[in-house]
Amino acid sequence: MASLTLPRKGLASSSKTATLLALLGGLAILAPSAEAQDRGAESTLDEENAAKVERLRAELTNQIQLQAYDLLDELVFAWTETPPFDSPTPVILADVTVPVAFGSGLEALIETHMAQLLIKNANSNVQLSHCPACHALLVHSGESGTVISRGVDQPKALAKLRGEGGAEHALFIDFEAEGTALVLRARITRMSEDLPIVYARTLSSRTSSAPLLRKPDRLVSAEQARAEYEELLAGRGPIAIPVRLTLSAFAPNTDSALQVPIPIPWVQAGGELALGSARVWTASLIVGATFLPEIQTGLMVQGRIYRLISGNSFSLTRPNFYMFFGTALAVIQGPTAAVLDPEPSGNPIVDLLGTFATYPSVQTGIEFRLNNRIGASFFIESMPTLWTAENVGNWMDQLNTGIDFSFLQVNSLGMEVTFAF
Amino acid sequence: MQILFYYLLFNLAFFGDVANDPAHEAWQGRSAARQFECERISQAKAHEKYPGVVPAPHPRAATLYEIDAMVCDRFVVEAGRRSAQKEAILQNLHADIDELVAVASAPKTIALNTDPNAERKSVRFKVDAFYPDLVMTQKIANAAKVALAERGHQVSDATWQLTAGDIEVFRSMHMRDALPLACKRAYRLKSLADDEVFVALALLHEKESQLHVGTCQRGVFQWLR
Repeated sequence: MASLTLPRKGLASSSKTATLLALLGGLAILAPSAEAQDRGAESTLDEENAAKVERLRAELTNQIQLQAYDLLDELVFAWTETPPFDSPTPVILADVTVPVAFGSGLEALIETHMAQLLIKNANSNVQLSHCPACHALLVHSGESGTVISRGVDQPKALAKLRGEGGAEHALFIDFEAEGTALVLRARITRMSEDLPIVYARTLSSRTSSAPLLRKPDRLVSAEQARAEYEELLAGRGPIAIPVRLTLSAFAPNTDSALQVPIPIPWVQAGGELALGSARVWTASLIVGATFLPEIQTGLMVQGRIYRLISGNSFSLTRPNFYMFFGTALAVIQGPTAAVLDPEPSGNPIVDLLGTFATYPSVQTGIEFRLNNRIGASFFIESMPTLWTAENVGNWMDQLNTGIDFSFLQVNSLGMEVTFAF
Repeated sequence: MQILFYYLLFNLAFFGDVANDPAHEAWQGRSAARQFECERISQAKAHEKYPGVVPAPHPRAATLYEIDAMVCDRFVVEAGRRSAQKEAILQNLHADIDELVAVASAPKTIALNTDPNAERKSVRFKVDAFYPDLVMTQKIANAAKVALAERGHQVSDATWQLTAGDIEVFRSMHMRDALPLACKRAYRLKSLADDEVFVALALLHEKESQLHVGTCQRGVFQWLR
């Protein structure tokens, strides 16, 4: 609001001043709206930043939540194998703390998961018990003075408050983010006068094996979970047999009013080899055939190299995207061949069988694959020997961009559906 | 031109290796790259840890050349979300506490103040941390209690109890001097028994990021580290 603090002397004596006044008056009127705009822009920016922070927090919390669940699973599994108590014992969940910088929402999720695990794994001999007084802040005056603390920290005062019976053990769970690891520390304290710790365990996400989100009612050890995972990896093996249905369409030649070759359906089968268990690089060699009565008969052989582009390793649960490059050689006989390559071969024996068209091609495309079982792909092909064929054009020219695409001859494009065995 | 185009297209596949490298700063900037902790390990070890990602080393190829794997893990909490001091302490909390607890519970340390013939197991430990932030105090104390209990020691969840007046006096003193005095006072008040060792984990300077450890036994406090 600078316009309101300008000196006012001589305001009425000069036309310049009057103009300035008018201008300032205008500014004074405009200033609030400009400021409001600034405020609006700032608040929008703040909201965007807040939304970004919130998204990031949610993402991190989700990751930590899953890791925390894994560690809790491992803890309870250990209890089912070696129970901390000889018989079912009531225990109160005295405290759950999450990594510094995370909120109480995560605490609630962890507490709920822990309760679910203990309910479904009764053989852990740890029975969750409810004790409001244990969590409450107690003020107790005794011989040694007045002590203010939680119920769990004052067993004597707690006993007076709730009487005999009830849970005599308190479980404390603490999670902390230590560098790249999430660490779980659990301790069980007996609520007697000396508050002895009767059980303590530290688990780290760094040392434990990824347990693949075990079901709460079927916990397995980290070793067993790893064995299952390795079995799964071994099950898919390095070699697969793809069976593929392909439809490829030639580009019409814009300069010609002649015939356009009909799309060619292919049935292909062969072998595919993964060059590692991550399946980042794979290679395939397949043969194919096409037969349409009185139109065409053909054979082809094709080799491809695939590269995973959707991550560092093949995902068993999410779709995977591959980029591939390849080369193929096809031989077509019949009317389609006559459209592609109307020139006779000059060999009387070959010409007796009809017109043949033999064309090599290079191709590239994208393949979407699910669990190495089914896939769908799209590819483009360039056929150098057909660049001069009058019935075959360039798909790039069909885009009508006005650019000369003679350097990029896309003579054919196609789609495939693959089933792997 | 076409050859160049196909060459570039073919190379796209290899750019994926660089793009997938989490420690590479060219694609994401330095601050994002710093969110990772990377270590180089052998292919065999990497295969053992990540069988779905790293293939097993080939027995014949392994004799000819060694292949390493760079394993990068993202920090659980992003840099900047916690104060530098807290981050420095929490990042190696497990290792640091383990080391401090080992010193505090060493037979030599305990023997300084107790009967040398007494068995180590008969000593009961009480633990507390002294840090300006309450949450951090709980974290540090809990880590030490669990570490001691995991080493097979008797550990109590109780701590020493001092009067409000004592605390007021100790608060005005430097931690280095306050804890030895508090130790004497707690022993006199019978808040610590003869067979109990109080382990104190403290930050002695406002800006330091290294925890110190001391023990109190029979009214005698000693700084160990």
